[in-house]
Amino acid sequence: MTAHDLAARLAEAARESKVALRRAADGESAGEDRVEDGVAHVVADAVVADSAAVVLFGSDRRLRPILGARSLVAHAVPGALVASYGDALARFSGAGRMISICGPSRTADIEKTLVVGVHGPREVTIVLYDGPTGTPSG
Amino acid sequence: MSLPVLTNTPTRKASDVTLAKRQEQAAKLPWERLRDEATASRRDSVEHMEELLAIFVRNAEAGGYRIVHAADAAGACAAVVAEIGGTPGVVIKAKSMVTEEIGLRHHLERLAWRVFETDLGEWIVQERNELPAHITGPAMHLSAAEIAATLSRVLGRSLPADPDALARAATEFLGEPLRSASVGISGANFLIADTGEVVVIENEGNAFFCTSAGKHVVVTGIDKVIRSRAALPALLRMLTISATGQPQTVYTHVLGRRGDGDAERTIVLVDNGRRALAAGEDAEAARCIRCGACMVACPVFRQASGHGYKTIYPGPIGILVAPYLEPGRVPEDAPFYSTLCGACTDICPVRIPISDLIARRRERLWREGNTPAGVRGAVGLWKRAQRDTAFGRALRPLLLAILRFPSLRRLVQLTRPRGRR
Repeated sequence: MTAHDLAARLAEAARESKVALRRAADGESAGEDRVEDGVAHVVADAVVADSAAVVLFGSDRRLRPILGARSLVAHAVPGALVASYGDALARFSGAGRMISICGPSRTADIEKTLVVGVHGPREVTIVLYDGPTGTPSG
Repeated sequence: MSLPVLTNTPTRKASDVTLAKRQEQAAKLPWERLRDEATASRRDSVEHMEELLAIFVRNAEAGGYRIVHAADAAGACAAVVAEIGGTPGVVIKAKSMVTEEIGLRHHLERLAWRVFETDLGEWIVQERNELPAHITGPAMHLSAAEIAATLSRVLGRSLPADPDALARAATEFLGEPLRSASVGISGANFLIADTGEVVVIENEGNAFFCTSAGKHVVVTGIDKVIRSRAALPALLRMLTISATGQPQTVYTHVLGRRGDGDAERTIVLVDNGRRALAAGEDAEAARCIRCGACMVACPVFRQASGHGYKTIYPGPIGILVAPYLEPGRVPEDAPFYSTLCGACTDICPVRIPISDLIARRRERLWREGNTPAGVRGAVGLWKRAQRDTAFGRALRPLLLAILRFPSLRRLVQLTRPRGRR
């Protein structure tokens, strides 16, 4: 599957998972992981096209401030996009934790009514960076 | 029969929503193929449980986990206390059926620990001092108005019967303990033998905090072990879609080798009847992944809600597993809380022939002369009503009327002696 196909699937999944998806602006760079004013910026270790899940690998210490943020912006640099959860899992070395974050924190415990934003980020945005044309990412 | 004749409207509505969403998501996938894959993986788990457990323990220990084996509920509670220390403090808990089964929250509270159930539904039933009504939807038996009344009492201010406002209350009430507690307890959805990894899924984000607190204790059943990562994607699909109709939960945690900056972790592996279940005539029920689909599909559960069964594990699968995992709570006529319609068998994502196993249990009781007197009497009457005698002809319309009219059924129930056990 080409990077282009994956990006199309990601766009559809993002709508279903209530994930905001945008292309990186010209000259925008992911930068270091940081939390500013309740917004956590991270470089995604993988982004799953099937579900628009952001996948992060790392220690609890790295991840706690990210999950405690109000909003999550995940920077998907070229090569981060994979087709399925299984593909992302295959990239996990087993050191620390792998967390897949598929949309905003939510609950349906009360009369099955969906409520968004409980304890994790209330908003999830994926910023997609263009790779070299035609580079397979999956 | 011990089941009350009542119509629990929230249970029925919530069941319908789950079934509809499940149907919609299943239709998008090669469902039967994934179901076969999940079933094969879980068969392997049950058939090779000791082998896989040994591999899991070796790999998890190599990954920096402490492993403790617990034979029964009391042993499991004691193991947790030994891990979290003798000085009571605050403990945050993610939702876990095994901790319900062993009575961990009450045990810790008796020792003066302040226990926060941090899953919204579980917090609600904690405050109401009730059992969860469903294994993945603890508060599915309640209306928003009932939940508002409960949480208003807890918070000391009036909350509206609005799911949004009630969820906000949970965020507010649980946010501080979630971020500051240094002891967290969770269950596990799967244990991966080949890698020694622990898989936990959730939607709210509370389990993340519980599993990353300074000290994290995983309390889980030995039956959760699977051989490798290979079947995990199929198992997760089956579990989340069957449980809530979601294609995946918001969060999927795979806890791997402990390194610098990771919580200190202990895994308490609980038997508490699981080896007996996996070795006996109900062994197929041991591959259950605890999705609860058999419950929402069951006509009896939909009427009586989980509380009608009196057990931690209610519904069709509960009829099979509760006698092993929580024998003290099982009503003697529990195998008869089923119409044997087969809806549970049809929906089970790991192809457990639930209704066949229930039927076999009933046959066994009958053969051994252990069928409860009430059931035996009812069947005897029914047989006599089929005979072409004056008595039979008179009895038939009476029995049919009792079956047909709820008010008559209720009258019959009132004549039963109170207090089953």
